[in-house]
Amino acid sequence: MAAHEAEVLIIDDESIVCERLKEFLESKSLYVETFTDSEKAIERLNEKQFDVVVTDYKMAGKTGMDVLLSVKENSPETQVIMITAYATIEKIRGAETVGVFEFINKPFKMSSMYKLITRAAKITRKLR
Amino acid sequence: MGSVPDCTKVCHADNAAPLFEDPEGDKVGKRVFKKPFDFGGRHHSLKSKIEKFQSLLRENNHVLDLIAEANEMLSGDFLFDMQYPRQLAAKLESSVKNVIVDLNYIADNRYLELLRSFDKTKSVIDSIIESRHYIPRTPLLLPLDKIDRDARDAVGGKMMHLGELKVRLRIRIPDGFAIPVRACRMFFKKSNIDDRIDTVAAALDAGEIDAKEAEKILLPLVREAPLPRQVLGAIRQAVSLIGKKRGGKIIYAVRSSAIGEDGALSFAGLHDSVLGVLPGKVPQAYKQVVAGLFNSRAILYRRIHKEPIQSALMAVGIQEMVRATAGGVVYTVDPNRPDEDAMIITAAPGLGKMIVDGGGNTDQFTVSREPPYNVISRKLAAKQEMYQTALGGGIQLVGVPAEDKNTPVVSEEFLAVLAETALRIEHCMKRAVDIEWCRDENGELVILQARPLKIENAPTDINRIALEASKRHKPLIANRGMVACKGIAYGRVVHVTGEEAPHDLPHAPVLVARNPSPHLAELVPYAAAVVTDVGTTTGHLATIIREFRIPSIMDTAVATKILKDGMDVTVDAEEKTIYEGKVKELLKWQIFRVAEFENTSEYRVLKRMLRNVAPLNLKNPHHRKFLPKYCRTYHDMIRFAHEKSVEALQNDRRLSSSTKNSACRRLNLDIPLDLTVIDMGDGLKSNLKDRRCNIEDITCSPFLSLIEGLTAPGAWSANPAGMDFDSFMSSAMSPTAIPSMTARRPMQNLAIISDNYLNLSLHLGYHFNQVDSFVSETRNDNYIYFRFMGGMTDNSRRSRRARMIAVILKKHDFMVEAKGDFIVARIKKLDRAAMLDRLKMTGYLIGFTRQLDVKMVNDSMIERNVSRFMEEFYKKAEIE
Repeated sequence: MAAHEAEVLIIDDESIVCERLKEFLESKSLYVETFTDSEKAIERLNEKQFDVVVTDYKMAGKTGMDVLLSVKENSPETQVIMITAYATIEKIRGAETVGVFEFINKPFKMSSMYKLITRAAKITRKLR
Repeated sequence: MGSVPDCTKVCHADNAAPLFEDPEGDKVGKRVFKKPFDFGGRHHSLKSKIEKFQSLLRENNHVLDLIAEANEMLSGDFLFDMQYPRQLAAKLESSVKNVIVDLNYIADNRYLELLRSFDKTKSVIDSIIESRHYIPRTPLLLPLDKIDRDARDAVGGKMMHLGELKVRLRIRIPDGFAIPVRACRMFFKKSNIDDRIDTVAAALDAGEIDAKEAEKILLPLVREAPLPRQVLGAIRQAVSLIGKKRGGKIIYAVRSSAIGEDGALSFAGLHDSVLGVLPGKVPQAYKQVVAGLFNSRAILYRRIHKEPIQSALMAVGIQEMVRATAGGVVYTVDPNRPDEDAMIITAAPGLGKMIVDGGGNTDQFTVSREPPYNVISRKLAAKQEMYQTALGGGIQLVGVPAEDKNTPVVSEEFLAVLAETALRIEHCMKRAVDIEWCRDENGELVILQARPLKIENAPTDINRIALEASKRHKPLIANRGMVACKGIAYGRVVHVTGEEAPHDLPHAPVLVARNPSPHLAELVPYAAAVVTDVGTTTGHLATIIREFRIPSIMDTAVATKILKDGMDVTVDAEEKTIYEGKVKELLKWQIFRVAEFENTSEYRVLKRMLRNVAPLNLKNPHHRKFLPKYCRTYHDMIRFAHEKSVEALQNDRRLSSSTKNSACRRLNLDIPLDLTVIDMGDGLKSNLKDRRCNIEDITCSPFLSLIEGLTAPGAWSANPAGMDFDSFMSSAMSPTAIPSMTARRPMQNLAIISDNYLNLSLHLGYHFNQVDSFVSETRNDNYIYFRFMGGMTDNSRRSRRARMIAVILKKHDFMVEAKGDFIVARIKKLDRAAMLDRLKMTGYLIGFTRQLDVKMVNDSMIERNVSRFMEEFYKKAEIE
């Protein structure tokens, strides 16, 4: 068992999302790394396996879907939580939901995100 | 009708802005609506108007829901990015616009002027979202004791914090005023400094000049440019007001308070203050301080942080200069050893300026953070020189008298006072702080400045320590209720009841109350924390709580039972948990938090935006300023539209004459009351044939309950005024025979209803009752709004009756605002049965008080009639 309840990687090009989530999740004793640049995040995913990846869907350059593919390639057990804007959620649902643990709309409650992450992490660790 | 037409949300007024300003320009409507309105004048059918009214209510509710939601976003529980304020603005804009269009349809284009106000507010909101640099429209002179958190954008962090120390903590600061950024903007614009800044910025960008050269151009330019008349006037007024208040010969300190300073960007130390200024030299000192924006260090700093120098603006504080006998700095945490429970205090004789400047000649003390604040260690300097204010203005360096050279500058008693004050400031700012202090000629402590202290090497395992500590302490209340504002606080429990404000308030108490009440709201700024049994995180109280960032848990259900008066508790409004005693580790965790949500630009944009959306300034429809041009916020506009649309429907003569309209009926009652009912849907039984209806036909539950109260035996038939029959009849029976107070033409008694909604306007003789209510199974949507005004006797009797009504309503948990004979009362979010009970009571009360002012000859009648009411109403209830 690792020292932390979950090791999480967060990707969102809005730095406020990264900063606040990191602060909040760390206060819950999770291990957190954040990236505002999805390209760099994918590089990091090639190096390290995380329990949970939280990524924004719509980003410039590599999108949330690119992140998802990269995760599934490197560490298929890792669960992915996708942050979306309200309007896009229905659009994606039908198409490419395979492999996404859960979609969550912005704005969201940080405590809900925490619950989601711990649930996802349990599954990841069970699968490993 | 699925949601709430709640016009009762009274939000925090914007203190910093002028109360009312006349709108300018006349092209507003055209800009928003490309085509002029085509409402077709006065020939809309009543039916179509009622449909528009329904749509108006829907949009009205939607706006209020959006406001509530946005307010909740500020609690810190939610994560949002810049997209949120943008989308919110678009949604609000569309709904408010629809409300205004509907109102004009119903009221035959009588309120097109409202579009002008709308467009003005919209353009302010647009500019807030587009730009990070927002200049609030404030007066050019703001007294420091009127400054609160809201004023940060206007007066900068430094002056905002000072104002807060004075207002909230009642800490002594030097008397003074802030000259807000608006003055600086005006100065740069009117004196053509803007153009030169642009040129210099371009040259900097092109690499033609460096920061030093830019400074050489801009510094003298600003120092020598003439001040606009208004700005000069404001500065002189500040000087003269301080002079008058303090008396005698005083000198001034003119201090910088840059926007962004102490906030997201720290300009600490980049901008200079001017000390020891003679009265006549203050305007020059103002320019000197403003010029500090363009010293080379500040220019470099801005360029590094990609802040264009064109957006650099400065607010300035003009304060009395304290003739200090000692001064220095406090760090509430030792930046090198943040784990220790100790603070660092430095002290130098005289003005203490040398410490701030980083010079020597200072004593240094390490003082415990725990009472009685013992000195842990000291390093005394052999003090040779000190700064003093010079008689001819300015400051001068003088020798320290021989006998003082080797004695400590301050006593241990003074250090304890200083330490205690510093921790109060830390608690209030929820951060480790860096405080500049001095001791005046009478030996008393004066705080000159307080700002967040940056700690580079904050303890890394602070989360774990806090977590473990919280496990060691037994919670009194664990994981209950809802967080209105996050944070951790420690203090003594004080119970606040709805009826009376507590007298002896300890410093920074933990306020505990059953309900959110007006008393509670008033005490919020002085509280360490607020905990309630019931209440919501979207109400008025929660808004105020967030305004002052007071940690708060609402709707705990049990707080008043578990938390006893006088208990010392730690409120953890991060985890909705309350511990007995002090959990030091949690409090310390808070002051080391890295990211301060309130300083993010997303938070501030949303907050600025809401300031133009949420506050309700137009509360009294009978006030002479209840006009479209005084609608400053979206809330004002929908409130105005709601009121005026009801009034327009009420005034529609077709209500009484039309036979075609099936939605509109006369209600048969046993009491002499002429009442027209408009059914917007499912408010009456559907199979009614004639134009009249009976109580049994009512399916609108709030209406039915109210009518039950109004027609209950004793409510109406009692004639407490003892008036003769004729005058009784004339005042009660035929409203059309008596001129109404507010309308040019007689108004009808009107109930607009649906299955869950009631809007009732009753003109009983000379006074006016309005009830607006929504009651359904969804508790959160439920509310009653009750307004009462008027009477025919002299003012004192009328206001006695109003006071009596207020007491009765408060006894039934209403929030009541009373002014003279005008009362607004509201209650929200109780379950259906409790709401219907209160509506019945309200109906009874309307009947009961109908003539009462005639009888209210002295104050003792208030209590007597309150008891009579309670007795009669509840006796009746028991029989039933």
